[in-house]
Amino acid sequence: MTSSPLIELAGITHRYGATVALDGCQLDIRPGEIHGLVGENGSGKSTVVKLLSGIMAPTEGTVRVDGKDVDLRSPTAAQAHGVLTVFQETLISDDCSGLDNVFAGTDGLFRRRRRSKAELELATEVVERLGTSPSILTASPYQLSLAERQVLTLTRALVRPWRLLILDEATSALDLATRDRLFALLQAERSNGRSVLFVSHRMDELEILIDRATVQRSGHTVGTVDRAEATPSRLLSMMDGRSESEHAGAATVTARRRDEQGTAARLCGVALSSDARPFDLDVRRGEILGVGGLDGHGAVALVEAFAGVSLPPKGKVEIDRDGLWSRVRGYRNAVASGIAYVPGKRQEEGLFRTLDVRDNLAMATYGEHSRLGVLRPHAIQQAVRAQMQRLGVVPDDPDYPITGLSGGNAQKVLVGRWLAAEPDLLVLNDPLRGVDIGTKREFYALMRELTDAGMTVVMLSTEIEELLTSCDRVAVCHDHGLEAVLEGDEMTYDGVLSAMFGQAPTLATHERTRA
Amino acid sequence: MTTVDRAPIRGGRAVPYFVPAALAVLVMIAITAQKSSQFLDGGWKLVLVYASPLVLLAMAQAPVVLSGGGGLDLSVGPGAGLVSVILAAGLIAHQISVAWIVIPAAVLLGVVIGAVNGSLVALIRIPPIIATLATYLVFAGIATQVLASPTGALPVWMDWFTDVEGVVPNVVWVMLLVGGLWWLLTRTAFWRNLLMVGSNDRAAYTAGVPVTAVRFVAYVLTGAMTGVAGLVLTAVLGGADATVGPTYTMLAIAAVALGGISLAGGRGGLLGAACGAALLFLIQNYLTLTEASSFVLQMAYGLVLVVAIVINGAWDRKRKNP
Ligand SMILES: Nc1ncnc2c1ncn2[C@@H]1O[C@H](COP(=O)(O)OP(=O)(O)OP(=O)(O)O)[C@@H](O)[C@H]1O
Ligand SMILES: [Mg+2]
Repeated sequence: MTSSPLIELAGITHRYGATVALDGCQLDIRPGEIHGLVGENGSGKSTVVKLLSGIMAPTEGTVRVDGKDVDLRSPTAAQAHGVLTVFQETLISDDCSGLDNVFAGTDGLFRRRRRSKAELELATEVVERLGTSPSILTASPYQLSLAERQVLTLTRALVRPWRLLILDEATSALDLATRDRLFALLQAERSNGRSVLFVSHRMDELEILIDRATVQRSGHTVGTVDRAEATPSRLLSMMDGRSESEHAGAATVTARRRDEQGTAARLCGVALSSDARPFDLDVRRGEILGVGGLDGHGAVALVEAFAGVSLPPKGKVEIDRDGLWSRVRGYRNAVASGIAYVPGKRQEEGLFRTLDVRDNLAMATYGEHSRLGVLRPHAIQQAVRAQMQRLGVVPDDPDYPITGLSGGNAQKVLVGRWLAAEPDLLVLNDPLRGVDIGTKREFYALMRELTDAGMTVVMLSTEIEELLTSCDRVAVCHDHGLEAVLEGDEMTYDGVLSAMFGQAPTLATHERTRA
Repeated sequence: MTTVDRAPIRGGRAVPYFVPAALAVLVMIAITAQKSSQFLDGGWKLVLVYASPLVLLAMAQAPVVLSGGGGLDLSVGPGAGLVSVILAAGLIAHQISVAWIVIPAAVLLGVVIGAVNGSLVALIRIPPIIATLATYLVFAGIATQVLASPTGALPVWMDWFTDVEGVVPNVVWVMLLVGGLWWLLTRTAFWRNLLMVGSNDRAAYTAGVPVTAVRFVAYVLTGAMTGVAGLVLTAVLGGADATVGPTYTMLAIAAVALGGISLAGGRGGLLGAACGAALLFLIQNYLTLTEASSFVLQMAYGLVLVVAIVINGAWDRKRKNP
């Protein structure tokens, strides 16, 4: 017999009102293993995570820790068993310092458990281990990037005594360098007998990290496989029930456009920070321009410049409007010029939490669905239904509250809103974060369809694979400058990677192995 | 160790939230001094005494607003009125009038009031605006029931509260005591818990902060300060009047907004609330000096409130995008 599992879910059923999110879920995690949890969007992964973290109790079934039945009634109870969770949504209080966010909940109601100095030391150690500047602990969270916020939530878990660390797509917002450091940390802790439950849609991450994986399909547990069996095609076929051969080699590279159709938008003499080198960048009409770069190196600033969200300190952004160059002077002006922007922080900047799926989706196209300023509910309903079908939003119910959608499905709604507006220039900040592979492929196809019809796309992605498979060219930022624009044969994994690290491939490999 | 190079460190210290309100108070003091020569010459002491119930009630309002989730206590006015009525008609009228009973009784009554509101909001989870509207009506009703017409005849020691002989009027010590105790509280874990809950309760809950307990305690603190305000109100009025309390509620909430406290929770403190209340009272005082009609006063309140919200909003935006 193998060692008894650290934690075990047996015969779990969970319902949200009428929605059955889990039905007969089975999961066991051994001490000292990294356990993958995979499944399509809405298959119940986050629900499992919430049950294990004490956010809610299962409708039916038992949770065992060290072989004993337990009642994880609250996050505090789960933490007392050593279960620490980094949730899919980066949960940060913006009005408190990073340090307060990290240690909140470790004290009593009135009594502080640690002095601030001890807290700062402990947190600094973890943050540095993740290769991030400790300044995120003292800065106001408003000023932090999504990746830095995610580092805070990781630190929040890692400073506490943990036995099982649950990462619910916690890597999707991290840049490559931080992610590799996190993986190194997890692997080191594994040999200390600590376990990790790792939820991710990224097959490459699963392949390097996990010991075993459990697959979920629409609320059911399909099964658990060992590392050797957990090949991407095997996992994918378990996830969607199709045969393995259908998935082998399915990662086709989309045909790149060669035909020149002129320039749709351009950056002239733009500097992404006040002391950075200025550069020019043209976006060709009908292309998908990928934008990559490590966090804090200006990639976000670059896409935000195109979208008019934050104007660069130097230089100008221009968009072609019927043959005339019109300068982008701000967000409103950008929208009026036919630019649409999908922000990265979906909870804070993207979704309307009190509205249902319909309104979140139709928001940007109300204009088209109204007559004399009065909305036509029937037309909206029809358009929304069609849109949801196209995007594969589960459940396909326009009246569903947006907060009831799984992370990936919420992301589909956010991107879908702006796709429906059919802008001239669509600017996307990591649009497919947390979206499952099948849907991603459909998105790529959809984007291609729209660009063939004349739309232009600028898309930031934290995933190099994504930049390579879905984009025509890739612009890579380093140190707030434009390091390289790769095209055709230059678009290789190593090419993008070395550009991210400032053209020095040796440094890149050095960082990766040393981490 | 070498780390991957990062973006430069951002952001200096944020400018404190209460600065606009404090500046406005200074401006109002200057204007008042222009108008009335006696103001700087001791007149301010009396103004402060009359302002003290409002200042204390604005401070009382702060913890629940900070606790977020729509946190608000509409019942502070009638609550203070009820405390005042019970002290006057329940204790003092029955010759139970020594300070060491009356003062703790006031605070304790306030705590009970806060606990009632806290139970409704934090435990039963009735939206704060509804729950405290209900208790507003109930407290006001009980107060009129207990005391149909105003009474007077207070023990001599209560004159201490309205005494203006010293360098500063004695009510200042009361405010400082409340503020000092609050400051001590901000040194404990409760302060961090309160701001976390107020700013993002989901983040707080998942991190392990006892959200329900924090919100409950916030209401109890509000109640305790309401009790103190009730005591001071009794002294300032020279007796109890069931109809006075309710008039304070709207002004206390306006004061909190004026003081730069985010009505969404998570940001602000007692000092801002006190400044906001002082500002409102100074405006009222000035308009009385110029013999403006009470309609003008109402309009002035409204106008100041709108301007303040706009300024605080701009302040906030600057803080988020320096
Ligand atoms: N609060 C809620 N209210 C109602 N339904 C919910 C709620 N949370 C989740 N659901 C539903 O439960 C199902 C499972 O959701 P869950 O979040 O567990 O999916 P997931 O596997 O984590 O997906 P993703 O990969 O997109 O994050 C979905 O159909 C979702 O719509
Ligand atoms: Mg999820």
